[in-house]
Amino acid sequence: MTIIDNFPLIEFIYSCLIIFPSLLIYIKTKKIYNFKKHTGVRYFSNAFLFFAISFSIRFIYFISRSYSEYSLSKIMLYNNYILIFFELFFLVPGFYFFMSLTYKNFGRYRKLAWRFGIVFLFLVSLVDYFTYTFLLMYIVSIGFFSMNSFISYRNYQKKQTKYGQIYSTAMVLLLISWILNFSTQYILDKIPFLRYYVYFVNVLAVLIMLFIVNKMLDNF
Amino acid sequence: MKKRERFDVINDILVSIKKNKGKIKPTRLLYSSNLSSLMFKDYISDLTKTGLIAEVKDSKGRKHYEITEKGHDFLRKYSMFNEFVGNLGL
Repeated sequence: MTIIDNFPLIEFIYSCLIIFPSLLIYIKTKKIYNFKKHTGVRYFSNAFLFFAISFSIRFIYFISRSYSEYSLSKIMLYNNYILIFFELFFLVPGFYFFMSLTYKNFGRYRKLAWRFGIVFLFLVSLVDYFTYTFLLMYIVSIGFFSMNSFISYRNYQKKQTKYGQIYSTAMVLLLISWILNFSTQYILDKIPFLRYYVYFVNVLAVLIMLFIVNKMLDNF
Repeated sequence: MKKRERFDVINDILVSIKKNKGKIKPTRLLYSSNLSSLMFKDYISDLTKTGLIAEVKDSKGRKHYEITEKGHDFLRKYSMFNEFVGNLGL
């Protein structure tokens, strides 16, 4: 059995490579948020917290399916309304990145926009739950990351900053990973190991974000 | 002209002191801060209480303000914060 065939090991490594960098980013950006309460920083920081949470739940869910004698898997399989929150936690990072880049445009309706967004994401999760699919999750996430990529690139074009360019690249990578993820589920499901390209792109995007945060907030 | 936030005002005050070789007379600081005298007093009081600046009297009893290590640290963090927010467009 090769390492690629060892699904639990791959999942473990993949999850660690997403969860720990995400938590590190969250901790570092929380520090600067405590310095100055900036709304954009708060959304950016919390996006990574939800990355860490969603991938933790994902890891527990997929691994418990492999070892179904554990009670947690039984809880998740027989009470599969938990999938609603599973999907919601996956949708939130894209939305929070979007809010971090656009909150100024909402002015005094910012909190209303946030509430509307969360309710919308919850409804998306509900619809997917009752239709036994993740289709809307993919469409909405691709939509959010398309907008995030466009906005971050436009911001980079205006200011021409080095880390702005790298950040924009990371956003595009996250968009690509969602598109690839969608493809593995609905279009290219016969292509083996395509899933591992998704993993690679996701990890690369998160590590790029960690690089940016480390470089700019070193010794904060 | 965009209204300055509190942190911006603090930064401007500390930068004024730093540019003046780390110490400055009150009147000069008042002019460079672009604040009313009432607001200036409030800010100076806060900055002194939080240890970002220190009020020093010379041998002739003349007062001036000096930026402290904590004040330098604030300037450094504020600069890093602005760079982070500006680069990412947050």
